[in-house]
Amino acid sequence: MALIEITNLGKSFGGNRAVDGIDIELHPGEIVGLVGPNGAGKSTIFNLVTGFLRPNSGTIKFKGNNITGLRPDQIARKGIGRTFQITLLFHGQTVLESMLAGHVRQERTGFWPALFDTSSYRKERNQAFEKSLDTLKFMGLTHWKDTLVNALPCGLQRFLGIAQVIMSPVEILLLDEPLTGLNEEEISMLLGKLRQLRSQGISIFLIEHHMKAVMSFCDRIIVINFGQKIAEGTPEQISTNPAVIEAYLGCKRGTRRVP
Amino acid sequence: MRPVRIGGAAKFFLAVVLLGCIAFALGFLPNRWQQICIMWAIWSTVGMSWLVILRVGEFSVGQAGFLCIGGYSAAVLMLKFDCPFWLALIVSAATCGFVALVVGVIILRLKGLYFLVISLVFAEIVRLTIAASDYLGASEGLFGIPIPNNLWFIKFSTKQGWLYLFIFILALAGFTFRRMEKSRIGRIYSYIGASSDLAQSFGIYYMKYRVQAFVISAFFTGLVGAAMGVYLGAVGPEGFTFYYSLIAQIVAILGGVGSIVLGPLLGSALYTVFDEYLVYVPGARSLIMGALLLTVIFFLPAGLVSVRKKLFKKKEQGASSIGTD
Repeated sequence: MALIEITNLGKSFGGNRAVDGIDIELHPGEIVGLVGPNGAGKSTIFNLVTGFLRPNSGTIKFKGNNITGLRPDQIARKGIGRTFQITLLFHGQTVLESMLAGHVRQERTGFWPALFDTSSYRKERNQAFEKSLDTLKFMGLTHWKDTLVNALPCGLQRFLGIAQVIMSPVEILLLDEPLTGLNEEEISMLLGKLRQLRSQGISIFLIEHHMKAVMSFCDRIIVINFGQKIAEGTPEQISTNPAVIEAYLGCKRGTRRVP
Repeated sequence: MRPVRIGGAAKFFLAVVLLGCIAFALGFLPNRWQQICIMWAIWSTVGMSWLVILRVGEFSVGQAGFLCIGGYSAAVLMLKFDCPFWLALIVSAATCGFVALVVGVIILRLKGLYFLVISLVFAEIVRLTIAASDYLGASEGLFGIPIPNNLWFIKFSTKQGWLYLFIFILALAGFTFRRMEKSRIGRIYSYIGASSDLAQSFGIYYMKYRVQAFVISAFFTGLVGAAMGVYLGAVGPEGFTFYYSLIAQIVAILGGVGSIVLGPLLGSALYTVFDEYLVYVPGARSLIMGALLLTVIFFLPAGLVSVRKKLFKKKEQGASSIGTD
């Protein structure tokens, strides 16, 4: 069964059809890349899947359940983690403090136990701390745990974003341009971490412009342009697909442009 | 020699006893200083309540609305239903909380400047509705609220009794807000305040916590409003103007918004002392108050709580403040 099944997804902003009848299927354990020129509708698809936008048409199913129209927090609780294209941070907090945000949805103690610092609340708090430290260690951020998030180097902020998401169990990670602002060394490090996550059973769906990384990293690539899917297949198939070459490089002189 | 270690419960008990003694001693100050202390406790509590809403990222200018609802509920309960004072206080605060719940679900959908404007509108609607209602005394307000019965050694016919009551409310609010700030609740509020989108992507339903913060803030503001109404013996629509909402922000910003308890305590102390003694310069009152505010904001942008750091040039510690309670 498909992990995420998107059928006939459509979203318009005024007269602009940002996403126009897209069908996507993601399977457990897969790494799928979503590529396309700027303005093709990639981030819109992510926002539709994670509930930050509501689709005009179409359905999104997660493990067979319809999740179309749910709130972002409800979708996150089902196990769909995401990062944002613009690095969003909890300004003014330390790395460790902001890591705890990813753990909140697993915590069961309510308002009063937290207010009176009961033993069940303390137990949960200690669990959250341990999990944060473990996750920071996994992402190689232990050294930075007491730094303010806004003082963190740009590349490491991307690492932090992913670290926060994997604080709670997720089945699929939607990464919106995770490699932007990273140098080659950091890219190979991050891709290594992502492969490790995949081997733990987490599927990955990512938007990325760094073609070299996408080609070597993804099992399958989906190319969209003007809100429509123009190609889908293995990296080899995509790199020789004429429609993709046209979308990225334009067409040969003299040949008519596809409308 | 091994240093003496004090456990959490013992420390808390010691703090309660110490603060209780200080509060008790305040009751023997000259009359005028007791009045200043009452105003200090009132504005500290309202300032702290305002900060709770700021924690979830919203700038409210509607605190006067909740002071108004609290004051009027207590007045109506005591005048028209012969309700005992203590019950009136609790019911008034709960009424404010309930109003905040209903109103909050609607107006907290707005963010930033839009919320600021609608919170101002809310306070004005409350005030003008009351001013138009004959049952609530229209523009004259309600007066002749009876003096509550004595409670043990606390006499509400004297300033001393009221001072103790307001300090008790302040302590209750201070304890609650400090615990919230130190626990998961305060952390979640600050996540939402920093970036509600990111918080949502971690499965945090931000509306729930925004409304929660709004209700808690309204509860304590209403409690103060109710006690204030009975203390003054009268409530009128002219008493709860926009200026009251401003004072909440002034004391919190003067003291420093980074600290939810200490900030308003310091800011309110400075404000109330100046406010009291500036009656001697009637013409220049607002001018001097404005100059004071500007001076503090200019030289201490992080508020009075940062004065120690500024003086001793202490290096800011990057260490995490969580889990230290």
